[in-house]
Amino acid sequence: MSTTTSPLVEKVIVELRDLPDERIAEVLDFVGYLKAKQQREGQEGQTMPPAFRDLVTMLPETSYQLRKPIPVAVRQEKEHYLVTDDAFLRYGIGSSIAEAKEDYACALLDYFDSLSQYEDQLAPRLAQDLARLREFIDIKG
Amino acid sequence: MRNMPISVSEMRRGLLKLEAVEEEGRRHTKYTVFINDRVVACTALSRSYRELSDDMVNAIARQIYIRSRDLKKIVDCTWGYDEYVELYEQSLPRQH
Repeated sequence: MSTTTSPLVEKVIVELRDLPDERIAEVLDFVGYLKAKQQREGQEGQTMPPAFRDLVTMLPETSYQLRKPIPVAVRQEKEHYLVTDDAFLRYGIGSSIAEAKEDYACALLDYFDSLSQYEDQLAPRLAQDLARLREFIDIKG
Repeated sequence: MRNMPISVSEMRRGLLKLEAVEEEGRRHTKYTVFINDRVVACTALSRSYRELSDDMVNAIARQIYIRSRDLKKIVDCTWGYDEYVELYEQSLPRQH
């Protein structure tokens, strides 16, 4: 069986011969990255669903209560789910949608705590976020 | 420009270059960024994952009000705090 090599590949092989080992390692790393990217894109094209809308309706701690649901986008990535929102720009990750939503809720509470902690020093955008978060989150007791 | 995924430890180093205050949150490590003693951005890194997907990098970039390609320049050590301050100021709504 005969194999044919394109002129471009032949040129690359000649170029590679003259490179020091560490440069070849870099080239191989890059080739590996391209292969992984190609594979990922192929898989995404076939099986990865687009992001869909969902609601976070619960917080993971009883000392906080959600007054109204928070709209989020859920996206399935290679090995996990990513939950993001457009209002507060927080995100959560998990191996299931429920886990990612719980992780998101933890991130949201962390954000709420940080903004409350630095309330006197907040830039206007963050002060607005804190005011809006207080419309969503109630502290019990 | 980098082609490999960004690891959580690389992103942490990038955020610390922004002189962010690092504190432990519930499941995430929190980073609070200051400019002139004002808190301008809060972001967080999950403690459960080692590598960040492009979507996660985008989410972190949005949290600190810059583009993800600019965040990658910070992570890759090309840019630091001064460049971030400029980018942050460019992100502010223009006053008329």
